[in-house]
Amino acid sequence: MRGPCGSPSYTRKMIKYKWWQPLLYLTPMGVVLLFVYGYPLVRVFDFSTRRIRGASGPFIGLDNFRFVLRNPVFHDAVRHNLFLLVGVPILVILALIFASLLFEQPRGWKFYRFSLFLPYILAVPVVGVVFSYLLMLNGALNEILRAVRLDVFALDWLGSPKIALKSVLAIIIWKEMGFGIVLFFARLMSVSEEIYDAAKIDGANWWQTLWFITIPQLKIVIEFFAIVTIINLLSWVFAYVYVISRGGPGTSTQVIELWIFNKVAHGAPNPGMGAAASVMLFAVTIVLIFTLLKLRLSVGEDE
Amino acid sequence: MKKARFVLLVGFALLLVFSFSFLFAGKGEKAGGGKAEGPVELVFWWWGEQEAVGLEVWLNETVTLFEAEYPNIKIETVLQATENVIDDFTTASAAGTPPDLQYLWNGIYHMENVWLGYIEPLDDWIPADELEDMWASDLSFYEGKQYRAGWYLLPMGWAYNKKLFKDAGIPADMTPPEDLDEWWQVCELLKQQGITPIGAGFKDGFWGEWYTGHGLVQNEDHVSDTTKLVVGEYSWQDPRWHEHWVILENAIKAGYFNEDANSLDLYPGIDLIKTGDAAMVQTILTLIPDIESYLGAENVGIMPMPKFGRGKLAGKPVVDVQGVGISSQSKHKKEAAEFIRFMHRPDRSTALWEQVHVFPANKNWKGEDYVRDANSLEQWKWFTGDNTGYIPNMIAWTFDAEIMYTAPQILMAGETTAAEIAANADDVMERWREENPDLLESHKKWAGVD
Repeated sequence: MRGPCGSPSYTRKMIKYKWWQPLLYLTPMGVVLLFVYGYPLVRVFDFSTRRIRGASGPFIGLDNFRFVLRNPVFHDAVRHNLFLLVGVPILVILALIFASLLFEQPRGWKFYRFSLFLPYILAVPVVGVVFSYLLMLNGALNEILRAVRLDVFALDWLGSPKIALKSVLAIIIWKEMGFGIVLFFARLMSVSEEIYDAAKIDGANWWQTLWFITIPQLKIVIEFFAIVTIINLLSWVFAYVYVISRGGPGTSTQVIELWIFNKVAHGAPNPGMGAAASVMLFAVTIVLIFTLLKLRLSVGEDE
Repeated sequence: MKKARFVLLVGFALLLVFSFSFLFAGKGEKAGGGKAEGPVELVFWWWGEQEAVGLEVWLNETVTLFEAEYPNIKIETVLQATENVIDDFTTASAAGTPPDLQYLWNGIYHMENVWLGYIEPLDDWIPADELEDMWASDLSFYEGKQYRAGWYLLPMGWAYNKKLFKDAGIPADMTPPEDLDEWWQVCELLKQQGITPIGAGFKDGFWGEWYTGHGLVQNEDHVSDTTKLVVGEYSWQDPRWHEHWVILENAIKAGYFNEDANSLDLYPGIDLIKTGDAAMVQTILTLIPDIESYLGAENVGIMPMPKFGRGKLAGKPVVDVQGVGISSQSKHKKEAAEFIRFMHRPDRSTALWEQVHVFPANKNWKGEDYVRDANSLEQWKWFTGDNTGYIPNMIAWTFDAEIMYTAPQILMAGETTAAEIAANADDVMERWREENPDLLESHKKWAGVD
């Protein structure tokens, strides 16, 4: 029996194998994965309970966790990571709007699609360095604002502790939005046109179409994008902050990853504390992922 | 079919086993390569091109000459980035694969590796009189042993634009300003002429560390006072120990700094003097030739930070020494030491000055015989005369990150006061002492403040 393209068409029942054979085939890759991911993870947990000097150090129980939790700079870092989560709804809404506009396929829509996706494929350090120059007090953005007599808006975007984190967030949104747009757009392309035609016949306007058709159709993709973005903003913003502001001015853009880096780098002042913070970040991320997955499953069951 | 699958499975398993055995066999071979058969290969991780432009050419030439004289020794030099020059050595040492020779910043930057046992004392490998002439500072000693040889000298100070001073009508007796009153008058006169008195970049934090090096020392009678602040014998909240931040706060409030200091990194801040956008900058003086190339040598002057403190070290020029050491795990310590000695030969010392325009860390090299230009002669006097060390080299790095780097930034933003920074400094050091009791003890032994 052959399949539609001439390839053998197997069914599950036709393939006979012992129960342990798939496991055996998977074992080599499993061993590699365990070594690549498992070993470092075990070492991080081990480090978190030691006063690390060089490759190891004396066991000090949970002291590193206590030291981390009382550290005011770490508190700032956690607060800033939580603030960055404001970016999740902003990213979702903007990506949704742009994807819907692109879906209308206006004149030159391929160019717009390319332009909107372009920031996403740029390397974070490149984006960081360019924006560092653009957003200087006497940088290009402020020069333009001054030239058009909008001096009042020519702020010290990265030099003022009051707005530096917001500036960093704006850069992250600009860069990451392309991913959401492409995800949403790809999903929209697979939605049956008949639904939209029916909505048109019923007299639905653009907003009603967005609200009653597009968003429900995109629900799963939106959820996926939101989860990925939450994880990114909690534990994937190091490159932005390191390149753009190094956590300053003061501690105004300090984030958890940078705090960890500062504990393990620069002559390794206290890798044990860095490891303890990493364990906490890992735990929070895992809890978050499982909660969201569980939520997703329960929603799926309801449906 | 079953048989074919079985053969495939066995073949795959064998492939895996062979791959792993090759992997480990290769490692064993490399370890065996450490035996004294055949030529000796030394690895040297170094840094310094940023502050001593041309050092790479000098080093390559030195290696070539050395290899010609010692045909059985080959040296591989690896230029390291600023971010990982020390970290990588620590990590490699922990993993048992450090280089034989390592570039070492002064003080705590190499001393923590000494305490971990990663750096070899040089006393057993280099004759005492030669080692003494290699100009490592006191900060390279621990429990009577010397762990680092100097490589090149690093004078640290301030540069000023003589032309802008003249344009602002600053009297000759205040060029350069020698004390705080004169400095304030100079800044005020410059500001009145629309000239930014002090150019700086606070963003990456290093400016704040340099400033602490120039400012804090002014109220010290001895550099070990720094360690007393580290170990908690002194409090930063004592006005004597944060006067330098008060002065910085006042200077910022008076508008003596460029308004975009928080937007600029250290080196773009220094560049402001080159473009005539600032009259004074805090700098490493190895950059003076570059500044002179923009402004003309006749328009550039150098000075220590104007005197304001009441300590015995007040007003003294700040000098540092960059150096080199040998890994305690090197299998070729004798050869590595031989290369360090070669680096300090008279001809190589002179070449270092002529090619790189930095002073060699060689007490037998007489700068007076070679140095001709006024600014370099002045710097040479700093080394041969009364001077003081760069004291941030004695403070745990946590303090750099949490206090020294950030103090100018938050003062510039108007978000704090010098007194609040001092209170925070005490908190940071107190936490550091509790978190690192072993390092605290080592600090005490190092500075002899037990």
